[in-house]
Amino acid sequence: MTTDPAPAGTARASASPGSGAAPLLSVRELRVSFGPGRDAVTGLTLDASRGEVVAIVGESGCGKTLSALALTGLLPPGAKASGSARIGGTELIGASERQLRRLRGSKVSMIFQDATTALNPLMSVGAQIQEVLAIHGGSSRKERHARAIDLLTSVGVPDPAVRAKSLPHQLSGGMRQRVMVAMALAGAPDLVIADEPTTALDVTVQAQVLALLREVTRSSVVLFITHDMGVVAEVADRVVVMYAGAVAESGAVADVLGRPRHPYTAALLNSVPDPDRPATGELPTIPGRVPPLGERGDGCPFADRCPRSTSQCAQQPPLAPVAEGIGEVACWHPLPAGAMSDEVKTTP
Amino acid sequence: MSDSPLVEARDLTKRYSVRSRTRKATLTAVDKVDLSVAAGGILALVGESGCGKSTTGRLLLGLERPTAGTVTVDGRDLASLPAAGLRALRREMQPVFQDPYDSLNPRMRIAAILSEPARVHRIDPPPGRTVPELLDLVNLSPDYADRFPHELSGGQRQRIAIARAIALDPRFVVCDEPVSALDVSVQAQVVNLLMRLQRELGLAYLFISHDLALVRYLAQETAVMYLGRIVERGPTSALFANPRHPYTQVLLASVPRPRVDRSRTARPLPAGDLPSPLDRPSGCVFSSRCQLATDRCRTEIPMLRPVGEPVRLAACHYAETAAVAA
Repeated sequence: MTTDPAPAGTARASASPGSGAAPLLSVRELRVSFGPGRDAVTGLTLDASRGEVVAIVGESGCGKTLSALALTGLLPPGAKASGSARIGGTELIGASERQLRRLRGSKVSMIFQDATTALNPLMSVGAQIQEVLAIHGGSSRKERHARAIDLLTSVGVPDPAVRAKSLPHQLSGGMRQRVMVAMALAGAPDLVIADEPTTALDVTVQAQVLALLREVTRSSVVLFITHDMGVVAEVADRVVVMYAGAVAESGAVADVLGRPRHPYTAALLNSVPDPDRPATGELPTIPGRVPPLGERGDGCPFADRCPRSTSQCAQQPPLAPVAEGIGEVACWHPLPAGAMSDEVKTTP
Repeated sequence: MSDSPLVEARDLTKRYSVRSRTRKATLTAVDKVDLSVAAGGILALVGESGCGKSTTGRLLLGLERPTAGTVTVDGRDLASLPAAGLRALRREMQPVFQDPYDSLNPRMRIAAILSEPARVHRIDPPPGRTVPELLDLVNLSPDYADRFPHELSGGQRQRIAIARAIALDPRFVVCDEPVSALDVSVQAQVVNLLMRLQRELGLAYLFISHDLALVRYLAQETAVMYLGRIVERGPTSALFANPRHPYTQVLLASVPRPRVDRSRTARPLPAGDLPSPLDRPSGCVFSSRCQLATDRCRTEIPMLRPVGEPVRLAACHYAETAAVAA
């Protein structure tokens, strides 16, 4: 696999509009499989430039977390990744454990949902940040100490010199997540993968951490994994909507959220009540359920839940560019560009 | 709201004593809370973790004894009822909890789970509440009766938990984050089910949630809790359209909207973290994070009082003018 322009017929999310620069992150046809006929991710393709936040959004089992784990070489036993993912020219898929160990922290870092389990409970948070620095830098102990406190300052931890000596349990959930962000940034990575980093936080603290993440990741690519369309609107520049292992739709956040083209995106957006517009009547739901791994056929995975499906949908739709923008959609019958379709809104 | 509430809390207070090696302290989880739920009505209780909303729910169900204050159901004080009377009243009040994985016994078949309430109370199932009828009420086919919880999806399990809650024909159900553990498309299905049952069976809900969008959709009345106190309470539409307590304002502004129609930075963020409930600020509980706080706020506890248009109760010294800036 190479990073050459995508072969004809393979659509891809382009880098930010107008930028001629080569994308820093380039993922091509990424697949994660648990064996024949058990593909959990069936071809993720995306590009992202430095400073961009790309959200991968979907419900449980859509493959968003596995895609992220594939990039860090942290897939669970039995899962195998294929395809290509390059960060700054370095191939991540198929890299040896030795190569990956060097890449993790310095080129690629990860922020997990639950800081309580991701941090070492017996080690002060300052020491944990210094450990990252010690593994990747040739700096002295004194320099590492100063740098750890700088990092804690940059993520808005008050009293950083004192807090550096705290054990994780002595900090609040929001503070722990800030420490995770500091650790993720310690090696100045090109790619930061944030997997539901604010899901366990209260809403006022979530708002703070989201603002922080946008602020401190300007020199990296951020892949932001979430199930929450509100969070997508908050942090991301572009969004990839996944369903049952496949990309349903991708594009600029304002386009995808404001004028969804894939019926699944529209249905997902509709099933969440809006705090600013009091709804009446029943909430629109998506009938049926996500097809489990091993029961996914050849056609569009959303076909049997989709109000627009026809016989053509027995055939998997390719991810095709949408005419008016930089987005793309994998649907034979996409919603018309324009306002949200009422057809999908009133799904019984 | 109708004249006489079904469930009413007055001055409800719950304190726990907390001991560690280094200190002994009192945690005030619920602090002088007044609430009422009308028969057939829905009151939403919103707030962040540790604000006391779940403890309040447990107090209303009589699952915990208040340190002070009273809970009355139909005018009867839970604390003064004899054991048999309380047991009879419990049939009328049921919980639905957040996690359908923890709240169903993994070794019991669904039929046994659904018939257990009647067995415990040593009564026959009320009319219309046999196991197949209960499954039908929550839109599950009768063959689920023979299955075990692990064979069901999260949404189906939550339907079973709801069916169990309505098995004895209660009038009041405390729903404690009933859909928070579910995927969004499944959330909508379960919310629709809860709303249909509420209408058809005339249930009253205390709906405990941190999801403000959901609360706006389903509750007529909303109470906002922060560190054990109700800071604002009134008609849901009034609170959302014109929040008068700075905490309500910040809470509403913090909800991420699935839209990109406003500047991402132009909204008020609360300062700092939630204080520990062991170490609550004196005066107004929100004073340590409120950008409008004055010396008065740090010393004098503001009482809930009618304010605003439409009128609601807010516990802020400056509720008339409070406007948290971006």
